Amino acid sequence: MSTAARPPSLRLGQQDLKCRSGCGFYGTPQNEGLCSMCFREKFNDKQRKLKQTGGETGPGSSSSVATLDRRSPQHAHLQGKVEQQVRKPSDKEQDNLGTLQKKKFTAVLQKTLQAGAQKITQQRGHVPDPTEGQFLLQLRQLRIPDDGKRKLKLEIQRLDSDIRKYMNGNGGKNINELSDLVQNAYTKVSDIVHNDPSFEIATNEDRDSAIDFFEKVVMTQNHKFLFSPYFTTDEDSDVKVQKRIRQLSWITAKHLDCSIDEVNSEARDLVYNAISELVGIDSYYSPQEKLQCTWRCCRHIFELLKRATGGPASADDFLPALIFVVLKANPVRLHSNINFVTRFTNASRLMSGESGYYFTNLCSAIAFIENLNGESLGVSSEEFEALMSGQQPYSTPWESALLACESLHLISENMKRMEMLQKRNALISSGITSFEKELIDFQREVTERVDTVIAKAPLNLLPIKTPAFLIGQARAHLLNESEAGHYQANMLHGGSLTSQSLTAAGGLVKPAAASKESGLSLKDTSMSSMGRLSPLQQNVQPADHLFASPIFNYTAFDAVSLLEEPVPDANTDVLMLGSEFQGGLTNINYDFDLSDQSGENSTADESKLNLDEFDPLAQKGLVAKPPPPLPETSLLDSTTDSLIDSEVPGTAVLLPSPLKPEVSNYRGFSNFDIPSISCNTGDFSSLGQDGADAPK
Amino acid sequence: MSKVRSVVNKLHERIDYFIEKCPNMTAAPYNYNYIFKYIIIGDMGVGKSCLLHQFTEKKFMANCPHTIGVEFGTRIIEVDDKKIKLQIWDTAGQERFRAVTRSYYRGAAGALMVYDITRRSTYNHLSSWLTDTRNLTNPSTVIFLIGNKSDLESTREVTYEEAKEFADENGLMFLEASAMTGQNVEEAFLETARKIYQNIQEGRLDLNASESGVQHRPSQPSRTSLSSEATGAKDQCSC
Repeated sequence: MSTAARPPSLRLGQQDLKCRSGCGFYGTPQNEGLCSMCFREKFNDKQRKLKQTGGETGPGSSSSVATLDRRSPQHAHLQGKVEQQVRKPSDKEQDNLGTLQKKKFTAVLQKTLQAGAQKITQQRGHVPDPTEGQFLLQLRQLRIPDDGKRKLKLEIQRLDSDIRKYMNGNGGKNINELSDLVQNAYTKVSDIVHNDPSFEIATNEDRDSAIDFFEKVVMTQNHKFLFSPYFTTDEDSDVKVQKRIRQLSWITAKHLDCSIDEVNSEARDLVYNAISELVGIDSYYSPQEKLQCTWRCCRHIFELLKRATGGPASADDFLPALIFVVLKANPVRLHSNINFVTRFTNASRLMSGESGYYFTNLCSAIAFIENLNGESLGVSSEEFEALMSGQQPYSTPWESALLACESLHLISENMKRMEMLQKRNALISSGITSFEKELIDFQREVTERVDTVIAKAPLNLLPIKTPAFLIGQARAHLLNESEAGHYQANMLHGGSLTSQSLTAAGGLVKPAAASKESGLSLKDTSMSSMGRLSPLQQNVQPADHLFASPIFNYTAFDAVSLLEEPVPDANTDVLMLGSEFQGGLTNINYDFDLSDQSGENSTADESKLNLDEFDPLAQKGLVAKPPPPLPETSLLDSTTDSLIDSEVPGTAVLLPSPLKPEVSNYRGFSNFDIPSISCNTGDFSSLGQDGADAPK
Repeated sequence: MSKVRSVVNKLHERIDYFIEKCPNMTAAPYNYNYIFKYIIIGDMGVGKSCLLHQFTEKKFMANCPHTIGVEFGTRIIEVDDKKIKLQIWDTAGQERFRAVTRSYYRGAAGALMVYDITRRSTYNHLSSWLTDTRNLTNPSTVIFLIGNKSDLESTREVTYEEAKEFADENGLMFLEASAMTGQNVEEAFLETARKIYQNIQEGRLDLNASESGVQHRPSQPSRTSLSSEATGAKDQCSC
């Protein structure tokens, strides 16, 4: 393994690249180190030999002798060049190389015929000396006994001669026979290394190293013969595979379902490493080194897969990834390299071991690529054909990454556009957020305002309900007043005070409000009635007012009577008398107070009059006065006449009778005469009314 | 490259130092008698790689100095006092790669067919995998049927009895295993190795045939002392 890990540095001079025949042109390994002209001549000579041998034996032998004579000057030239190369190095190296060559020659001469020896020496001159020297040094470094080293070297030379003999032979050539020749040699050497007593003290590791060394030396020295021989179709296969892979350059990682990120720079570096290892296979001569390249390539792929999947890589992912790498690498002479390794490496190496595993995967990848179709890629056959023939244009992230300057420019532009889009998106997002906030605030404000308005709404509803309610209340209270008299008046005053206190408190309840307003109305009516009655006593003109106020009261009662049946007319008369009585009683009380304080009486009358003028209720009363008299003119006339006659003496009699006896005593006899007449008539009428009410 | 070479040279010097100082350990990686090649086949996603990973990494020894040249899917086990190196080849299970993965079967001494007990389709494809295995390997190849993901009992779609019947009809060894919990993973690989070794002992497996998948390394009598000294290193590391 250590030797395999240290690849030898082969130095190929310009001389090695030129034609072996020394004509001055450059040769190629495919033409056995000859230029195309010399190779053609050689090939023609071989064909002629075959024909002559088929025809006659004698001319064939003569022609073969002639060919040998022809070759001798070429080989002489080669020997001269070799000698020149030997002279160039230092003296010590010259001596060492000379001694080694002498040893080789003596050993070879001892075992083979003279003619064979000549051929071998001529052929051996073709091998570059620096490579052979390195191999000899490595042979010394092997930790095996000296006897084992000698045997190993002997086997190397034997296989060398066998290969060259076969390649230079006249018979038909088959690559499988050559492969069997090499494999049998491997088996033989393996048996020697494991079973021969000369390797007795060596460890298994050292034995494996020896076997590897054997394979390496033989294959490196014979690479020009064994790699892509002219009698095989390897060269044509190489061209086909390369063209095929070039056609498949449109394939991406998605087509293969592999987890390679083609845009990630880290992943791309690992792919580049794998590709460089795969392309480097062709630059090595021995199968072990080619397998090492395959091993390193696959190692990079496994590293790539571990980073991509974050776990142990599996073969389900590995083979697609290897196919992707092969497609992007498109290595030269791929088919020839695969066949070279398959034919001439140790068979046990391919069927087991890590290198064998990876090499098998590589063969599978190439087989898959050669037999590829649309179905295996998940593409329709029409699209597959269009992409293969180049009709349909394509752009893969891999190729865009390879075009560094242009692709980087495009990427930078796209990145800029993406950044602009991100900024716009951020602005839109922030706008949406602020708009949502505004909507929420607006909803809250609207809700609050609506709540406040709803809180105010009950107040608006109250005025609509109060008039009918208040009217009913007023009527009820009026009826109560007519029944109660003095006590009712006192209660009315108390009610007004309570309503005022409620308003001061601020608490508003509908029944309380209703009672408040009804109380106010009752108070106003009582005040207006008192104000109107009081000035009548003092002035004659107030006597006219006295007529007016009873008319007002009377008109109200008349209206009620009109609405009711004609029988209640008597009731109205009774009510009128009751009201007069009530008014008289109130007047009596008021006059009593006024008589006590004469000065205050005058001022009180004036203040009351002013209040009546300013009161809106009083004004309303005045406004209300005109409409009732008009429709009731006929009734008013009859009723007014009766009322005037009855009222005038009634009021005069009532007013002075309880108070004026004292006043008459002080003032004179004229007033005393009138009250006596009125008192008598009034007393009887009231008694009569009470009697009339009782039978009803 | 020069930096890498210098690092590699230093590592080589270190390895040489270890080899000189610890002669017992030099025999450890190479102290085995047989090499068996296994292949793991089955549909995609059944857990082939997880089984392999569970088996090869379970006996990992962190203090092993031989950290270079790690082979993928390799582990040394012991059967009847014989050290056997298992080389396990994982395969791609996708349908489109079936035609090109037949070269994996070449030289396999054992084949592990894996299916997922929670996916019936993977079990239904076993007949196809078995046909490929019979056609592409030696008659003496040992085929082991593994029902993976046995820890997912609630989502089971293939019963043990059904799979056992299929295995008995086709002459396969059968076990249900779980790569997640490690249940029966080692037993599957070891049973396969015992079966192969039994075939070798009974002469049904020809070691000289290149396609047998078994490589024999005869032990030398001169190394008995080394092997006795290396008794302390019986636990083989696969790192």
